[in-house]
Amino acid sequence: MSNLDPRHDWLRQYADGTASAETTAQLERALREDAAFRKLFLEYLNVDLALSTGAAHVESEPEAKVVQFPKPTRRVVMAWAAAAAVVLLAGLAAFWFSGRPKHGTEKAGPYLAIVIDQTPEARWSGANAPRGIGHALGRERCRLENGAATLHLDNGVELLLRGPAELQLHSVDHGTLYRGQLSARVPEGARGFRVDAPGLNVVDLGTEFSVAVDESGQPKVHVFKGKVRAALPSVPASRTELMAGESARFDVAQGKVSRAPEDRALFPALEDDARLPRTTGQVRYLRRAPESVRAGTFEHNAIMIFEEQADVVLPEDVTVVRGASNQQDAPEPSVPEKVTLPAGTRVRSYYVHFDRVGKGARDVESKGSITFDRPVLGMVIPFIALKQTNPWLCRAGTAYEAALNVTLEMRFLGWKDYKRNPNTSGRFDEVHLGADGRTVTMDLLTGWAVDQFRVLVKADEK
Amino acid sequence: MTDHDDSRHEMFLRLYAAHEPALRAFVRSLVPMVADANDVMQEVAVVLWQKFGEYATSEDFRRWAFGVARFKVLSWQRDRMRDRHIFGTDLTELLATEAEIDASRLERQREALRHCLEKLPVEQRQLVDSAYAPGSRIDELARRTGQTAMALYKRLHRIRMALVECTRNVMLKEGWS
Repeated sequence: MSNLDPRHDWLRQYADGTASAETTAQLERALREDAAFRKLFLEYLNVDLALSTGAAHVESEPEAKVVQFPKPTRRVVMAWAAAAAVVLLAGLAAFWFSGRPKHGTEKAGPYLAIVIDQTPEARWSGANAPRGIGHALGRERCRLENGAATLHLDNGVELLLRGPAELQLHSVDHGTLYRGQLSARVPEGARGFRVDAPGLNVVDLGTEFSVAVDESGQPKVHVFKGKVRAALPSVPASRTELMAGESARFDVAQGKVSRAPEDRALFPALEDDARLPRTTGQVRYLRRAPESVRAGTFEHNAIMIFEEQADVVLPEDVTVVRGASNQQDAPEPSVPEKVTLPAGTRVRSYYVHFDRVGKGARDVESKGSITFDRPVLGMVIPFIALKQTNPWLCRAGTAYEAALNVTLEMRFLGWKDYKRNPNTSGRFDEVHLGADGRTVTMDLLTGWAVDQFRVLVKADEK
Repeated sequence: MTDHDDSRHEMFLRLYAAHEPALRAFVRSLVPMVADANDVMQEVAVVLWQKFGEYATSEDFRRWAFGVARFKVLSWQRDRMRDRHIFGTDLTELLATEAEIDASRLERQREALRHCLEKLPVEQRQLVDSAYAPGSRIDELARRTGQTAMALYKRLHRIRMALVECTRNVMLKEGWS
């Protein structure tokens, strides 16, 4: 790009708002004639805009963007403008979090996905890369040097990344794969999930698909289920829809698409096991146990559950809670059902861990549910019951919190009236077993402590 | 607000926030003055919220939002037909089409810009920070630094051109054409 090119000075004047009518006309002619100059024009103004909005200075956290709405002239306009302005001003900074704050609670932290599984040899690198199972990914670009990892995005999208790979999530709807292999399973509610590769956009149209970028930088796409729309953005004619079972190779330099069958081994398939527990809301099921569930280990506010033991025979009687263990707003909550599991009962145990980012007087709230493929025998909630069951049920290789601060703030702690000790916000934690006997719903709050409990389900029949 | 309103707001915010930088870049490329571009963006945001409907995909919302932005820019332009500081409609249409096609690349350019800013010599970085600080005025900055406004405009132009070049190199290494 020559600094002597007079067109550059016209461009400068246009961007600075100092261009005369004559300069504007000269610039207009130059732009009409030269596509390369139009490209420079768009890039130059893009840089100017990014500098003026601070977009190039901020790190991963989005700032609140102030959108000033015009003065309303009619009542109906006033209603939406007021609502929209309030929401936009107050809400944009944290737009990706689900749920609303209430009763003096804080919202969850700025993460987009959690690592719910990874192979033993998986190794991440990068300043803000996740450190392993249960850890979070934000908007930073990170590398998976080897192995494979499964990510659960906040909108339910599941991604399987196979290294060596480099991935950057921009939002829960959009990520860029710079190299490696990525497979995505997109639930109905998250349709439109987009994966960019260098020179390529792939948009989900209700599907399960895979994108691979090899060392040569040529992206390939394969569709397992449903369909996707893929295009080289610089070549509008390249837009193509791929159906289940179809693959395509994109030659970015030549602007060509070839639909030749690809080696399926390039595209890792996501695990699809109906026996795995299903979760909703801010509950995440970890397919492998994390290294630690001690306070302060994780940098997100999701509730995590993992399997501790697949089949253990209880050596002693254990008292568990079943049924509604607490009702937040009920004036006369029913006392939760206390059940004794006799010694000799075979159980599979899961551990629930909820720890907020940082500590503070304002509670952080997270909620959701988990549904098992088998009946839930009960929950082990009081600290004394957790302590009793730890020797039989704790997972080897996972560091547990030893302090007393793992107790839930229940209106009834187990079966005892405990309502004098709510959370800082005055609310109690809630845990319910659904009518199906398999779904545990939870609404947990924490300010200073950690919330942990066990869920015991029936072990496999022998 | 009802639960339906809440979920509508939430969906709107999610989609708007995801596409706002690209929309803003699009409008900025078609409207010469930053203040005018901001006004147009406000109008775009209002229309998007007023007419926000059900979108099966984020991509559908994006396409619709770019359509609204294009309409608002052309409408703004029509109101200033006699202003010879503004491009003709056909060029605006052409630029709009290319800016929309290039939206992903321009998004990536904004990300690459962070890396390029870090590489700027300290003196240039300080000038950029001062010139682009909220409320900053080039004439006042020139007075404070003992330079003419024109000299400052030209220095900033050279820095912007260097940043464009740097972002192109970064993106070329990543395989973007």
